[in-house]
Amino acid sequence: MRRLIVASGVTALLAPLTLFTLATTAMAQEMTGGCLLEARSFDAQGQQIDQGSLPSPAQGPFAPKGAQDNPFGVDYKGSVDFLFRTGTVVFQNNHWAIQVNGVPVLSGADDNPLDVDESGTVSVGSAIEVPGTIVGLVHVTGDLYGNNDANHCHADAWVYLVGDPVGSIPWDVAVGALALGLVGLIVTPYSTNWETDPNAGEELHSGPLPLG
Amino acid sequence: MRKVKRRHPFRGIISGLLLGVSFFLFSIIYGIVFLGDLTPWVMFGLGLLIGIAFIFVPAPWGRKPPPQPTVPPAPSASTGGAGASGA
Repeated sequence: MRRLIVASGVTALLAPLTLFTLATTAMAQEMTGGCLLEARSFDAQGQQIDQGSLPSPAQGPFAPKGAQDNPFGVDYKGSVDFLFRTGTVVFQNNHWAIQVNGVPVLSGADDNPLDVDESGTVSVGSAIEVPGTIVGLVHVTGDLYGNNDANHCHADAWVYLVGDPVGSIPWDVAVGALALGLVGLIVTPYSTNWETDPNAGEELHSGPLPLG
Repeated sequence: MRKVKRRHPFRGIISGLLLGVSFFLFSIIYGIVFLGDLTPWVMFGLGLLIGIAFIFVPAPWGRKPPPQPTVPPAPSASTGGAGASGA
């Protein structure tokens, strides 16, 4: 029992430290591999919400965006106008993937890109299709590999999906789960009963020991 | 008399999962990221832990003290005394 208590204490002390160490590695935005991303976001009415670039203003016309305390604002029902450059290297035979909070959401490949840049306008709602809207702060990472994985760009940024969360489906689900979970907690504690032993007066199966 | 503890592990786990989902979503919706992108998962684990912990919590209601052992009534000294005092 004492070992269990000591192990629990050590785990309780070390776990937060480990988590904090892991977490601090994901708190800053970055773009590696010589790639560059510039973007502007618009709401559903076409009004600009935000703009920014990765990796730094020295390499792009926009201020750096995507830090945890300075996330890139996006409207779930709006769109993002982007320009992505791979520096001076054409990423032949490439493949890419985008993760949100570590969960893969999009991926693709292009075996014959003709140049070092790609631009376009994407609507967020078409990339992640859910009914209603999504609001919140998410950590987005992306990787692009090319030339038989000889070249690699990695992007890392925080994105804030703007809007009122109340009434959105994730908010409804969260409130419902919280209510049901709290009701469940009320009925979870164990109860103690005192019962009479129905087999009271038991004896050895081979018979009682002779007295005297 | 014997003491019987009736636990509800499935209720605790289901409650913990629901709380975990709730904490997970709220941390994203309200931008609670004190542990970076691990925060939602940590919050999910916290909810699950709370549910599991409640399996081992005694219910605050309906507590019954152990019943007193029933002692058969001792034969009264006056039993049958009427005849002895009779004339």
